[in-house]
Amino acid sequence: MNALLARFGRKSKQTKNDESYYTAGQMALIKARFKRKTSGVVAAWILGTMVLMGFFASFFSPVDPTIRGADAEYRRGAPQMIYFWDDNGFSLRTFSYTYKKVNAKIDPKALAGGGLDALDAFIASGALSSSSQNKFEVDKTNRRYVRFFVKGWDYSLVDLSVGSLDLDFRWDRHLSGVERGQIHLMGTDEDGKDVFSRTLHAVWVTISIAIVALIVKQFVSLFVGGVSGYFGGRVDTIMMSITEAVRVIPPIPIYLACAVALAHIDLTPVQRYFAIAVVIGALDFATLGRRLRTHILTERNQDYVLAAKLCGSSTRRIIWRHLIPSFTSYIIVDTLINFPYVILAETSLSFLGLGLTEPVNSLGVLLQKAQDPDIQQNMVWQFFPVLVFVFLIMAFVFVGDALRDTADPYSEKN
Amino acid sequence: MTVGINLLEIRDLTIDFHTDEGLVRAVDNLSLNIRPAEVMGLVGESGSGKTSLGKAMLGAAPISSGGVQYYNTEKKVTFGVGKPVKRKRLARTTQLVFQDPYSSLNPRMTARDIIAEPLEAMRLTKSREETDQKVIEVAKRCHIEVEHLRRFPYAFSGGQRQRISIARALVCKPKFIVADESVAALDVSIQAEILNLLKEPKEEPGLTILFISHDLSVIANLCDWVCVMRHGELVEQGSVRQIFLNPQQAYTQKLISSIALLDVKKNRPRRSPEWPCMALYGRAIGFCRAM
Amino acid sequence: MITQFLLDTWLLWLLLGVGGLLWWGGRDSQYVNCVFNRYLLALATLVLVSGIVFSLMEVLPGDCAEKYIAYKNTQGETITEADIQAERVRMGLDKSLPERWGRWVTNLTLRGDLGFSCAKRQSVNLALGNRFWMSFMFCIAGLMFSYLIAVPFGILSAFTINKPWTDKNPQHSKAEQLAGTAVLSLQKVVDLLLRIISYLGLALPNFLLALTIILLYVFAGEPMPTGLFSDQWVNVPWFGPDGFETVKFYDFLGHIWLPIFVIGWSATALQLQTVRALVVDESNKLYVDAARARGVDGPTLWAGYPVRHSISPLFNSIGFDFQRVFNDLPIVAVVIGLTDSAALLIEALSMTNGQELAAAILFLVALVVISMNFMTDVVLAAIDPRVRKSVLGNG
Repeated sequence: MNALLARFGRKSKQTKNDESYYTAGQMALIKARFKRKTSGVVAAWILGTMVLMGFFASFFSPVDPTIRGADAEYRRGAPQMIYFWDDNGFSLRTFSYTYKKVNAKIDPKALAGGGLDALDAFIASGALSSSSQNKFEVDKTNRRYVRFFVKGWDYSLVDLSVGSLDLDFRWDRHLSGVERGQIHLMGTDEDGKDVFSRTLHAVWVTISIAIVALIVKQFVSLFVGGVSGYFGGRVDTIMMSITEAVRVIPPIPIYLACAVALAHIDLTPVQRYFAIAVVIGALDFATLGRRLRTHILTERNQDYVLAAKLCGSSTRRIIWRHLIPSFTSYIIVDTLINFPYVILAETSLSFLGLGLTEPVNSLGVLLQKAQDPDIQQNMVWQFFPVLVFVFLIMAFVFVGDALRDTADPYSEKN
Repeated sequence: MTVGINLLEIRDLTIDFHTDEGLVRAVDNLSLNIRPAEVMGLVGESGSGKTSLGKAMLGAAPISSGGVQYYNTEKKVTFGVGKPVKRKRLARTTQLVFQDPYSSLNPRMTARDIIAEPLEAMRLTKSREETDQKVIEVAKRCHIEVEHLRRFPYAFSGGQRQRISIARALVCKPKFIVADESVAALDVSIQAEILNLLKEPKEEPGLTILFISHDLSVIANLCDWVCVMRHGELVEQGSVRQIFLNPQQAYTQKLISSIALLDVKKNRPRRSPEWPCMALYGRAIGFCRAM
Repeated sequence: MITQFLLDTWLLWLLLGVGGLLWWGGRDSQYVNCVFNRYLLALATLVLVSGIVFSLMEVLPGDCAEKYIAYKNTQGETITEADIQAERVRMGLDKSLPERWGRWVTNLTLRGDLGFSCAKRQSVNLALGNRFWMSFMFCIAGLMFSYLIAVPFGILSAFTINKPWTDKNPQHSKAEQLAGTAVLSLQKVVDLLLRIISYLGLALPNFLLALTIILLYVFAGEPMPTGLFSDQWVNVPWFGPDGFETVKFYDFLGHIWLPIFVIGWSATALQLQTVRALVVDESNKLYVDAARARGVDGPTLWAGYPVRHSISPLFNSIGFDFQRVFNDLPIVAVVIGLTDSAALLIEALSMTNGQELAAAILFLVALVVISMNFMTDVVLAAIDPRVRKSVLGNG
């Protein structure tokens, strides 16, 4: 087209802006309108960063989040701060300190000879309480400098392996790390696993479940809405009655039932992870399916569809070229808007202990730990995933809202 | 290929629509012949069945009895009760230009894609370049700027969109075009432009146009032969001069007499227009003055 | 004996009676005819839902016979596979799915009998007791809480949407302008706060909120308000020797605010956005401008025109709002430690595999949602001419 235009077209004097507006496709228009909403753009950047950090979580986290990387010497430890200067002088390179565990002093001899009073004193001293388990002594003389692009634990950057074809790209560099030992930016949990690393990996796990669930959901909704809308009549009535019936039932108990059923089948954690995502996605087709069906019913009767038919278009061409593009933008926007809800569904399931469980890293699993009063009182830093979770959802919500406003660029009510 | 003097013959056509209120008969046992290379006008009030008849010629209306036969086509084109429409054959013979320029173009396709639709749907061209060539050709004929072909419908005005519609109808070189109230939604000045555009293809050998309208002055300006419809029946048909100057049927006479006239002496309308005031159009003034 | 039979099948007669009344009324009035159609539709949906719920509960492993045998096993008797099979036959569990479902439905409609819970070894009606009513009350209270906050503040939020921060109206004097600016700024600030709250409400799900509140209590060092009553008041009856126990009531209030607040929280957030969007949409329509041109202004304009018309979609969504709130209830119940039917539901699903109990509770929820939808449809069709027209056009 462009070559022919170059030959036949005349150079017009119109401004570039005008021309680019007139020739902008659907996606370009949506992007242009989206850029005007600051809240959406800021949220999109934050979201993008989080997702990227989640995808490359292993690169960004200095410590291995699984039990292999657990720091036996720093269990239940508070977050380790990094400093630029202290009493010993200023340093351009940031550093952290060495921490040594302080064990509560228990004097068995005193206990043995003392009788009930000694026992009382012993209990009152708090040596047995859970909070005394995480006392650490800071050794300020022993600096550990933070280095970048450190060689650390081995991880899989991108795993494209299919079947027996091994395309696992492994690497062992990390963005940051300390010279000796490990740095725990957000502390550790009871086993010594680094909270920061776990959270980063959890972000990606949660998002990938949401992606799988949403893909399944869109397909099911497309099928239900498409068949209903395209064929109409009896087929439509039957499918809509079923959709309505499913819509009435609260979804979380159904997920619970499915999760319980899955728990009795022997599945690896990865398979369980996919199965849960598929279940969440497949059961949520009601609202989108109904919207698509209404949309297709109206679009089917539009003049331009009749015009296409009269031009000799086959049914397949009408569906692909005319009907489907009419709601692609709608589907994309709906997907983004529904991300928070799917994430919440997975989180709720895991929170109840019925979705993913330890040792899998997902935001739901991490959130579930926050229920433990021990953690609430003594290891408050384990609420970091809660913060990240809230941020993630807020980012999605802002982006979704901005997109919803810009979604239909061809609506005449500009 | 069926040979005949007519391009298109309609025999005993009945069209019924099933609505909530029951069965509505839009066209009642109508027979009509359309000769090739002729511009025929189909006039009537709203609800007279003219749009249904037009759509029936395109195989887009539910036929209860009777049938439509095209002649002098490459492959036999005929349909009716018991004989389903062969869409691709029909699409190469006859095309429709819609009334509403805003809903007849897919808002998500570029003008070039819209015009190229018949070519691509029926695989009439072998390559993209060939399609582009034909599209540019027909776009020039319809006075659409070639740069604008990259744009989407929302960038065009009503008149321009109607031109795209016409271009789409012309691109596969059909023998017959049905223009269903194609200028009704436009401003008066734009109507004139579009009408001129429709008149041009008249020069091309073999193109027949059926122009459906309730606007008599437009008919007078454009057509050679006029059919008058009322309640699904053909009341009268004849050449333009006959119908406008010497209407035989009472209904036709009523129609013609209700045209508002500019009193050339006193410069104001002589009659309140039930039909839009049209005395500005070329031939119509000539006829009206003669009355 | 006849009276006994009638009493046994009371639910069936109730349903038939209502249906008959509607049909009879529908012969004269088109509206009642429409209501009758909706009634039939609601019943059909209910039947469909019962089918779906029943088959879904089949995925839970273990059935009644196994549980009974397991129970017997704990008593020290040895059981064989044949015994389990025999038990199944005895209980009628070897019949096919449609048959068992049919039996369940007929029991339900004839007698309102929800079945027999094998895990709890008692009739489901008994096991549920008044717990479903408790859940129902919680949800309704949460919903009312959310409407009470969302509706006025949503309208206020919509009101401020296009207004500037300062009052530059040249018709006002300087003093009036200052006062106007103050009012406008206040409204804008409130609107901003509400938007942040509504976003937070979405991001912070109910259970997280409950957790955060409990955490705050932990930091404050006070005992957490879990459950409905403090320990000392749990077993004290409502009506003591001195009459109504007001102190117990205060204790109850002190505890109940937490569940209601948590339950209503995300519903409020969602409703705020919905109300705001609805009112803004309506206020952009031409009839509002026309009213303004006629001289109607201020609160009268807002109350009479856009607000009145946005109420119907809101009212219509009550059924599904209830379903959404009940959806969140199980997790909240677990976190806060309530003992209502939602907690029972979780227990039934996750711990004891009580299919009958779970199915019954889910069915009841669906019943409530469907009846709410039915009632709102009927009421709306009666009072809102637009709905009536669209409904009667099809019905």
